Amino acid sequence: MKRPLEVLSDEDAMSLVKKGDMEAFAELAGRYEKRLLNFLNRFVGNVAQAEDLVQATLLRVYQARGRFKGTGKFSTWLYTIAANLAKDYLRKTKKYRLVSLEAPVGQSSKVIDFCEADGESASETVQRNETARAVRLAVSKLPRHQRMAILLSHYENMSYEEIGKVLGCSKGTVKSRIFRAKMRMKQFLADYLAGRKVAQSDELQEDDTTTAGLSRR
Amino acid sequence: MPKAMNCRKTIRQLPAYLDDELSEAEANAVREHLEVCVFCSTELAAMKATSGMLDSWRSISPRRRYVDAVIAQVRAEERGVVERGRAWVRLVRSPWTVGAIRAAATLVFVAGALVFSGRVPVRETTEKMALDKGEQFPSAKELILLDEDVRRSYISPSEYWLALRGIENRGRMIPTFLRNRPLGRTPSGGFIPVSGGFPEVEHIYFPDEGMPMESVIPVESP
Repeated sequence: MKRPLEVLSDEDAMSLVKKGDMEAFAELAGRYEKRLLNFLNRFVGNVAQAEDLVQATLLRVYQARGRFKGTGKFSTWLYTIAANLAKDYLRKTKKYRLVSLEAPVGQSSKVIDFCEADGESASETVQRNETARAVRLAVSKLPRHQRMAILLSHYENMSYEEIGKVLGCSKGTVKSRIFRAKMRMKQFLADYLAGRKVAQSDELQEDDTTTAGLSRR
Repeated sequence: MPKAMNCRKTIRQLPAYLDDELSEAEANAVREHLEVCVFCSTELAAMKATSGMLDSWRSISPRRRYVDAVIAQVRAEERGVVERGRAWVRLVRSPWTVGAIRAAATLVFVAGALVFSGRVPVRETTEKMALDKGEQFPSAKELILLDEDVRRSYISPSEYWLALRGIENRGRMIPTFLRNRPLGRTPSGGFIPVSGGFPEVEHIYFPDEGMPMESVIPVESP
């Protein structure tokens, strides 16, 4: 009896895809769509472009299905394709197409990225959005290979060995890239948030003087 | 080992320590050092805080099922291949194809014989009409110089000559996007849109001294 697709492992589903089973392909894609979208969005810094890259990745997976040998994990293979396409995209555009975080962000990303979470007060949401903004900026400032390593490690929960397979480098190199990325981010976030605090206290002081001036009149 | 050296090594291990990527022995060494070193413990706390901050960048949800578009594309491509394959097979196997090729070959042979024997005059072609007006055709070298985009939008002298007179050029019309564009005249007498960036344009040509392009280039037929 044919087992339902939902209970199949990625690798078993992929063996059906290799025979041209579109339902298995849709099932597999459904499992990874959200993760891919977030990984690519965090890497290229643009939701619309990330969506295109998700589609390009899925298409590539289907076209290259014969090359998946089943000896390794499907997710590693999938992320390798996505990472290569994303790197190619950035190489072709020759500059990081990152959303400017100082300029107002587009309506869509504003709605999607910065939203209230359940059980969070309004001030907590504002605080988290501010931190998220700083993190986005910090990630965007990282060199591409460090950015890729930190995204795969932190958000995709991949082991250093898996990341090494995706990026085609050794575990030691991954360890080194993640260390450098973390150090840079730590420094950047500390400076950024300190700067914000100074700016906010300046604004408050200005408000105070204005109010004092007004009350004197 | 001096303490400074040990701190440096420990700090390098901290992200991997937090990610549980160290061997048992390495993790123990880091743990032992952290117990006695305030500096490295502070560094560990700062790194944990950084990791905590990364969590504030929440995930977004897909706005649609991306796989649907991919499946549609795959199916369209596969159908295209199959249909092209079938059409080709049908065409080759058709007895009409063989007959048509024979008839065409005979016609060309007869027409060629008549023209070369001088019995039938050469029909006025659009190219000849343009050449009679003293216009030149682009050389192969010039066409090579044009990049792909410009080459596609290149208007030959004869096409332009016809366009000026509002004559339809055997169904080929000036592309819509060229309307209202000033054209650059190339050394051999061809025209390209100036925005195409062709460097060897002799001068920008506004036909009939300011006559709007709309009136000299026929509107593309539907």
